[in-house]
Amino acid sequence: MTEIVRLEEITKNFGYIKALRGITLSFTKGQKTSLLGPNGAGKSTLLRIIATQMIPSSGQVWIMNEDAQKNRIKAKKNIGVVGHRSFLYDELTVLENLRFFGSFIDSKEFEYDRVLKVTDIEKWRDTKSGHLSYGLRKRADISRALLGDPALLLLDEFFAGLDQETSSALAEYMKGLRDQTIITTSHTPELINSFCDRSILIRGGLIEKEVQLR
Amino acid sequence: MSDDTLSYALKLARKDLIVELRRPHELLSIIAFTLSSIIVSSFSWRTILILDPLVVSAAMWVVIFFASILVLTTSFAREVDRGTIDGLRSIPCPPYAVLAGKMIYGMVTLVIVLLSLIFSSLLFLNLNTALIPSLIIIFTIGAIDFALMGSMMSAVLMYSEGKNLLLAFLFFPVSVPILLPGIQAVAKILAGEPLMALMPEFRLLFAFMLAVVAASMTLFQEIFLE
Repeated sequence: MTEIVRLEEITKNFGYIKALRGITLSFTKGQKTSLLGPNGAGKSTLLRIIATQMIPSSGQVWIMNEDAQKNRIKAKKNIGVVGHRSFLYDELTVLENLRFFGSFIDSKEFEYDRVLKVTDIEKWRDTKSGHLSYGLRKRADISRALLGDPALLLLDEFFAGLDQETSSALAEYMKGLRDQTIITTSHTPELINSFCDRSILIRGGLIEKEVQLR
Repeated sequence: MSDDTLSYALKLARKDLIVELRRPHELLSIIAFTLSSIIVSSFSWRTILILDPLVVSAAMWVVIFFASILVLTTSFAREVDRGTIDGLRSIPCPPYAVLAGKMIYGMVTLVIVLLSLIFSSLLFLNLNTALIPSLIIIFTIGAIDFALMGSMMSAVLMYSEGKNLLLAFLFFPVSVPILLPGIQAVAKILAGEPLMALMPEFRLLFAFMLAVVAASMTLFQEIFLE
């Protein structure tokens, strides 16, 4: 199986707090992994390091066999990130937001239609993001993250603040994404594990348990 | 700066300007502040027969200084408050392209403000129209300096609890290298001196610009990437 992400002995210290204490993991193509654990376990920090948004205190991150810290721009082109909070600008329409983010990876116009279709949000394309409900905004955000067909999708606290119906619908979308490697964090394993095939429990900055779900 | 970086910076600046123009109350309030400052100044100076160029110059720079605080405090702070800063971090471009985008946005906004300053000064301070090109040159250089320095400071302070207050306090000491030559230069223009007489002030303003650019290129990545 093609390896998409490899983490080697990742540590991250915030002053005297050790958020990550030597994480070694690898993620293969199409694999969907949930990172579970209590608040402060280090899940989001790990996700941010993989997303090259944060520099680890030590250790190495390899994305598609390239050192992500040395080739950040190239790594980012292969990564789609959906944060707990939306990255979309309230004053721009959904399509304008997609065009803005897409312009950095040279997305073509047909690609906006494609990603809008994936999350079934086409009829809101000309609506300002600030006027969308939380669930629709999340879907628009997923569309943004899917631009450029990234090999890796990172979803932080993906279902936070969503109602049951929207969460189930989004879990279905995620199941449908066959080619993407997905790494997602959550406090609540039930929904996340409905589309993940591997679950990793992180506690105190260390991997406590790894379970193959299917 | 490579062509790619400049193109990324322009895309980011364009986005900020569109966002700003779709919620114009902030920009309009800054322009209203500029106009009212000059009008209030004109009330007190109406009785003075010969205005001291240094006093007029200082008043104009005070307006630019406060407008800069209002424009630049929001540049990174708003991204943090809305959670879109992580979106900027996820964009595949060099970190300093993000800073350059914010700087370009700050410059354009400040140029709009300074045009309203010069226009209102023409009307209410009876400025000589022949002085306008020289004033535009010196104020534009000052606006660029403010935008460079203010954007960098806004980035440094973006995670601080009281970032707006801190920026307002810290902005003054670091603005002195802009304000001192700027006030002198505008006073010389108002006194009718030619542009060549402003070379010492131009040199200081350009030197400051280079220093801020060098510091930004060195430090910004560490600040931006946590």
